[in-house]
Amino acid sequence: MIPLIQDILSYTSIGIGVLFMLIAGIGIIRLPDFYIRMSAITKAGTMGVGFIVIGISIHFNDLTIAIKSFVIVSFMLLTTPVAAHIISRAAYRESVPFWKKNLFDQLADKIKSLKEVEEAVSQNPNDIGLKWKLIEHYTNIPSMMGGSSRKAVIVASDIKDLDIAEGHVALGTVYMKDREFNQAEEEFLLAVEDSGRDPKYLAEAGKFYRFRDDYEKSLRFFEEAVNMDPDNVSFLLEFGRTTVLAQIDLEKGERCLKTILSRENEKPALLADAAYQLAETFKLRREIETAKDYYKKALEYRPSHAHAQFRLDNLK
Amino acid sequence: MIDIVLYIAMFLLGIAGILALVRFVKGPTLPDRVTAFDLFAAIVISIMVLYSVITENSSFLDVAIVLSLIAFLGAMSFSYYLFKQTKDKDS
Repeated sequence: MIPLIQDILSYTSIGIGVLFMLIAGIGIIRLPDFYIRMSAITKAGTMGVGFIVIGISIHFNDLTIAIKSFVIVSFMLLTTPVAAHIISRAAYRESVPFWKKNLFDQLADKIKSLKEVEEAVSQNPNDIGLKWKLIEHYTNIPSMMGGSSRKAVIVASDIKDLDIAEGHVALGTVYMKDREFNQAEEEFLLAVEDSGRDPKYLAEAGKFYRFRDDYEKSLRFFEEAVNMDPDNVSFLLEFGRTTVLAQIDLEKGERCLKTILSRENEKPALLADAAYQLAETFKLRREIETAKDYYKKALEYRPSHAHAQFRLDNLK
Repeated sequence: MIDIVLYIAMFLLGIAGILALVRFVKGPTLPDRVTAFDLFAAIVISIMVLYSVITENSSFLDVAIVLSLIAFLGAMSFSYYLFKQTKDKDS
């Protein structure tokens, strides 16, 4: 009885494995371009070898062979994805063509717009906005396709020559993307100092500390920004958002957010965000009914507010 | 019974191997050939494993391990070569 079950299991496993191998073989002939073929054969090929090896280890029913099979399978599982990734990378760099029905190639679009921005920057070197765009491109594009944080740092230093505080913020942003947070913190603080505690740069520093989950410092910066410029709605909104994230000073945050909502002539998207954050505040305080009202209000201002819709559905 | 299953399996694997070889000959680019070679190596590993069942000799499994290692190294060195080549072209 037992040998029969063993045989059936091992035949089935070998059969499935061979089927996968055959699918991989058909895939490598029939599929339209290199990248699709790559994905087909790595998945099907690994599955095929895995099933066949499992099948024979059931057939032999022996510890040594089971260990050897395990080595083969785990080795295949480790190496095939690595090899596939590296060959695809090399192929993309070699600009192996895509299938003609391929819809988009986001990296190529990015590289194209990087070239355009580089061109524009070389024509008017005093435009800070363009340089910010260049920095964004350099930090987003992988290094093998021409992005590099070293170039981004050079551009940020150029900005520093034009406007010291802005340059410090740019350097801080680059370091933040590089995850060198100590240097980034230094740059943001320098930006705040050099601008004479300008509320705009206070808010940038506040955003940095919020990114680092250091909510107390973040709130301190946002509060200073709000105090210096009480009419700026975006500072009020950032302050409210941070209080919700930090779950401290909820009363102050609530007051700020209500100030925003009292100005009916602001942009509806901004008002919707404020109402959403206010609803979160009330939810943290377990005043569910009020929270629901504000979620509804957020949806009134901007019906496509997905977060508000999601939270409202959860509360029901 | 097991012999018939294994022979059919070997035959199907042989067909898959021929398909991989067709892609190897057709190309049209070097990465295509490298991946075809990769698949061919996986098929040869499978055939070797099945052969060890037919002959009831488990030492072919060691050969399969070594072969999978060599296939991986081959793919890696080819892509390294491609990287080098495009870098030289760029500069």
